[in-house]
Amino acid sequence: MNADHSEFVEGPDGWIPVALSVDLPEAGVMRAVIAGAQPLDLVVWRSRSGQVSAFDNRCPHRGMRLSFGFVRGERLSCIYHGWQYGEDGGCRHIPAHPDMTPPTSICANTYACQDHDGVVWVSKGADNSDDLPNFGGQGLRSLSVERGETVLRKLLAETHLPVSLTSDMQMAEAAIATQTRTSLVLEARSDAKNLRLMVHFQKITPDRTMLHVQTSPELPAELRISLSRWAERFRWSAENLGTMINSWDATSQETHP
Amino acid sequence: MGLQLYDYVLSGSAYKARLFMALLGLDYQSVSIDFHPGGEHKKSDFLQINPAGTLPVLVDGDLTLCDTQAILAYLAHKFDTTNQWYPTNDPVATGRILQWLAFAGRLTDTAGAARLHDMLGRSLDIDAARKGAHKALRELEAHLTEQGFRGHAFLIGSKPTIADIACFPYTALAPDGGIEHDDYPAIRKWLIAIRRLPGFIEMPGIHRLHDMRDEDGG
Repeated sequence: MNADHSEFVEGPDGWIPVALSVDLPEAGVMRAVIAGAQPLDLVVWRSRSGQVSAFDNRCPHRGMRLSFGFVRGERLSCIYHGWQYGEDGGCRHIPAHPDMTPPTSICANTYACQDHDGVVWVSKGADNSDDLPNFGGQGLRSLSVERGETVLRKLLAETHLPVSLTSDMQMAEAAIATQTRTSLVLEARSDAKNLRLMVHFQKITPDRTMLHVQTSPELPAELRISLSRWAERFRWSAENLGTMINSWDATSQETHP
Repeated sequence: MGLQLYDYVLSGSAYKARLFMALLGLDYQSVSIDFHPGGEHKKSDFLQINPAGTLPVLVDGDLTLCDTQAILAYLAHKFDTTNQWYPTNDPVATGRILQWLAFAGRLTDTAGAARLHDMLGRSLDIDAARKGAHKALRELEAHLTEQGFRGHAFLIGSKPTIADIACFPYTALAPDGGIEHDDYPAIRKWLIAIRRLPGFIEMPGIHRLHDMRDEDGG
């Protein structure tokens, strides 16, 4: 197990990125897994009015995955028997007993959840959004990589980014502008202005990471496509570098501010 | 005599034909084949119709078509007056559609195979099937991500084509074979866009969008 594996989930205020905001539309329901001493399997959903919530991914009734469920207005409904839960996790409605007010003891286990700066964040602990970054990025894409986070941070520090729109794509060396517990900001100089790439890390397992990638806002479609292809190439390199990388993983003791 | 479809309710391939005929508003006669547990598709009566022993089969008069993607192309050519679903007057779109029809075969051979293993106990290399499925889904995810940047909700453009119908079922049913959609946000959005199409029909494992149903209608 990686040395830096558990700190990301165990801290009381540890916000974890689980999705780009654009990938969880209104009435959207998704599953998110977070590594840790006790891995979390969560349902993350957005109500009709746009409120995001995160629960343990099991219905208190029969244990069905709530991520198979669907959103009804401001409630999440289980696919199995239709029990409905509000954003506080409390059961609001049981179709088999339509006239009964469900007791407050029927409650999904909830987590703090925030839609902030274009990213959906989840925390096991306190709900303090002051700790969340403000990079002002625009969602590019999320992609999973069969590598641990430490290796990916090292590889990102050496990457080159596409910065121009011409068919003979210009690549520019990227430098790390900022690095935080959850995120890394790369900056590359292009003709017009600096291109920024925000990468937010979600550990799925010690050897598997979801990257949530944002860019400087309002890039043209052609450049966004180039950056998406860069992300594909980056993943390929990360997953195919072999033994050298494995030894990095084993020796790394790094922590991040 | 009208259209006849040799059909099996749990078949994702047969569902491609059923779904497309529903979207086109076509009537047809369904001939149910006992794929499981009867194995009727491998017995001599059915092999007279389709020597390959696969479903679905479409019969239209003297024509018998045994390949799912060929069925979609034929139905589009013959019945789609809008020329939206298979615009053969556009060489670029035609080439791209044919490419995704072939890709749909890979989904059947990987995600579809994993589902047969998990649901019906078919003996096969499940790890290889799931690995192949994820490789295919990564390709699909990358393409749909780029389509999103172009403002296109579907595989070829802003309107659905038979390429979307061909790739939809085994992508949507992948979790039945232990292949989750968690890693694929662009695919999740595309699945919803298809389920939102007017005339969309369900199959076991692929349901309508609940927010398009009545509150108590179930």
